[in-house]
Amino acid sequence: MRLKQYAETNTALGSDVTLTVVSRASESKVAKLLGRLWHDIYVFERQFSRFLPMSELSVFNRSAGLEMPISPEFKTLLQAAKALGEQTNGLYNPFILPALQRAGYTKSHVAQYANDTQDDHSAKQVVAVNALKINQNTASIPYGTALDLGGCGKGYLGQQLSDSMPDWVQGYWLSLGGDVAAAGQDASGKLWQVSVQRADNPSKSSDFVISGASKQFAVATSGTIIHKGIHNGKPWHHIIDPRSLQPAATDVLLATVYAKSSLQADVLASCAILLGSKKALPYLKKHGAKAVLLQCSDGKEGFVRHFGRAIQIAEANMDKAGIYA
Amino acid sequence: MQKYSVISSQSLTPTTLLLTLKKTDFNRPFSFQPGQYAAISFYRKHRPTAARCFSIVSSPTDQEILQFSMRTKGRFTGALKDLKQGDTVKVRGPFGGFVIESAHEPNVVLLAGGIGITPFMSMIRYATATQSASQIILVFSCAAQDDVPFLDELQALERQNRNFKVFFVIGNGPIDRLEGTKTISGRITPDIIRQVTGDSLTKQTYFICGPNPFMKAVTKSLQAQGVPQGQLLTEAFSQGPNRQTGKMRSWPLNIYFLGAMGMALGSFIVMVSDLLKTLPPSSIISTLKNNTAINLSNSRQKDLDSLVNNLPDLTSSAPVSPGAQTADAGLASTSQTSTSTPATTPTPTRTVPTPTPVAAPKCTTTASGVTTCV
Repeated sequence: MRLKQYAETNTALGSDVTLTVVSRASESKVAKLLGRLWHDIYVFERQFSRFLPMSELSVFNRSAGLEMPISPEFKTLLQAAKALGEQTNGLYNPFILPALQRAGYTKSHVAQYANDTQDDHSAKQVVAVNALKINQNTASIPYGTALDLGGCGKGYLGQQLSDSMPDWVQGYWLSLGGDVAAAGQDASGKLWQVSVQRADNPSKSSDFVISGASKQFAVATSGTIIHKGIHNGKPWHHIIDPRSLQPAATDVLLATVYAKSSLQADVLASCAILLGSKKALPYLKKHGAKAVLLQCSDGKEGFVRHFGRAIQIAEANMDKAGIYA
Repeated sequence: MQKYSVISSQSLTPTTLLLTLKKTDFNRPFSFQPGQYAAISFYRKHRPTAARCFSIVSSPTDQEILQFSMRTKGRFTGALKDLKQGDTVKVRGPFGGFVIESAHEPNVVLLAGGIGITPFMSMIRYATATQSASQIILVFSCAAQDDVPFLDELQALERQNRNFKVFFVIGNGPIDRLEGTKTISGRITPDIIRQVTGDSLTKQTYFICGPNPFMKAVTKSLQAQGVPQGQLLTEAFSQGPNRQTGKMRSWPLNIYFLGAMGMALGSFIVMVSDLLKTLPPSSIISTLKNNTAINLSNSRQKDLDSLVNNLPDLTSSAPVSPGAQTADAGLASTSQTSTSTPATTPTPTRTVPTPTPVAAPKCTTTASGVTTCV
């Protein structure tokens, strides 16, 4: 049987989620797999979205100051968030939520849910990641603080879904709104190629593609060009610098990171925005990124910085190859 | 004494009021144990009222709101009903030792008469939020089926918490509106308790709360069945216009009172210790404000419930989703590039998922925000 490609797109995790599976298996088998993946995604969102007042995360935030029993999944997620916070010396901080809300990210960016009720933690404080205490079956955060797992949650979910892929799947592509977890080949038998959006025009592809691998890989994009707006007359975006508690103001507009795991890729992409192009490349290399593409602007004109063999010039732009060499 | 402001004053039944407050100052968390009560006072015609005690209905896990429920009888509760959003209410406490010691009381029977449900709501909400291992059975006696406060929430909590069961006992009139619940006509008797616990009467700890005649009758009948006094804990609910207090009234009073005092002292020490640990730095005290979402459900929550419920049964050999269309190697290329999301994109074929409705776990979210999947 030849390879067939199946794809479905739905709204989830506050964004568009696309699941693509390539397999020789029967349609019913693939449909069942896709159903299971959607189920896992929706259940994850229901458990960990900060936009749902009864999610485990929201209940946990409202119980700040108390030692709360937590589910095993939440424990794993908190452990991952804490470890990433420590590894990045606080550049990733799950306690950033109050600053994020103060900046203006108070509503879901899915239009139909923009008026949903949710908790307002904007008057609370941001503390260091070591304030998160995780015990055997319980966890606690200090009174007057709140957590947002943000991209770490999506990265974690991408990793979980990737790990759960059965071996009769020859290729898959899971796009969780900015985070891609993929492996194997597309329906034509070629390795996946990830096209990267243009920072100055997100509806168009940039001149670069990222070449995939047969083994599990992840590509995460983080940028100041989405989830942004005007709050109290000031422009804001959703990448908050834990050091200043303000939206990051560096030359990186869009960071695309290729790494082994989606958790790693997601957090490193955000770190790139926070660090700026000069510091970001060596930092990301040191922290395990396999390839990085930074689309930047010095205020006058755009430029790119990149490393890693996976970053390639798109075939359509091969004639421009010299420009990027 | 802590200051709160009124979020809502809502009638749950024709005779029951639910008062929801939020903090106006964040000097310190209001730590209490489920089952405790607090004294509240407010301003009426610009003059402070006397303080009255009411059981706290909310769970301590909901740090930013405080809920009380009471019968609307008398001038004080009548005035509470008239409170408007934003009005100031002063809260002093918490008081009382009517609390479950989960470690020592793994099997608990809560016997509520009418408004005596209030301390139990806090206990049950807390037990559910903290996934407590205590086995809790609530036997809720009400005069009529139209006067059962928290009916929907209790059913939802029962679905959510496998260690909790609720039985309704309706004194007068029909019970047809309680169809689907475990409802018995009549009054609470040892036979009914034996029936709902399915066990010997002496293995459980009983918490009894309601009007005095109710408590006396229930306590007496359980004692007559050989339940040791030490396993009977009561909380008095007087309905007099000048008094509506939680008060310990078990006999022999001295033993229980000393025990309760000991527990209260212990609780106080633990509370002070917890307070010291959780006090926020003074720099944020003045700026903290509370804006907890009081409506604990929203449209995304409902949509997610529906999406999860309508996905095909994952354990069966699933029927083919008509939306999962096959695609040739030369797939019709539909760009998934989003204008709002900087997603890195392949060129997959987009198909419309149309899940087949099958028997799958059903999730619902009640008006009070409790999500239950069965």
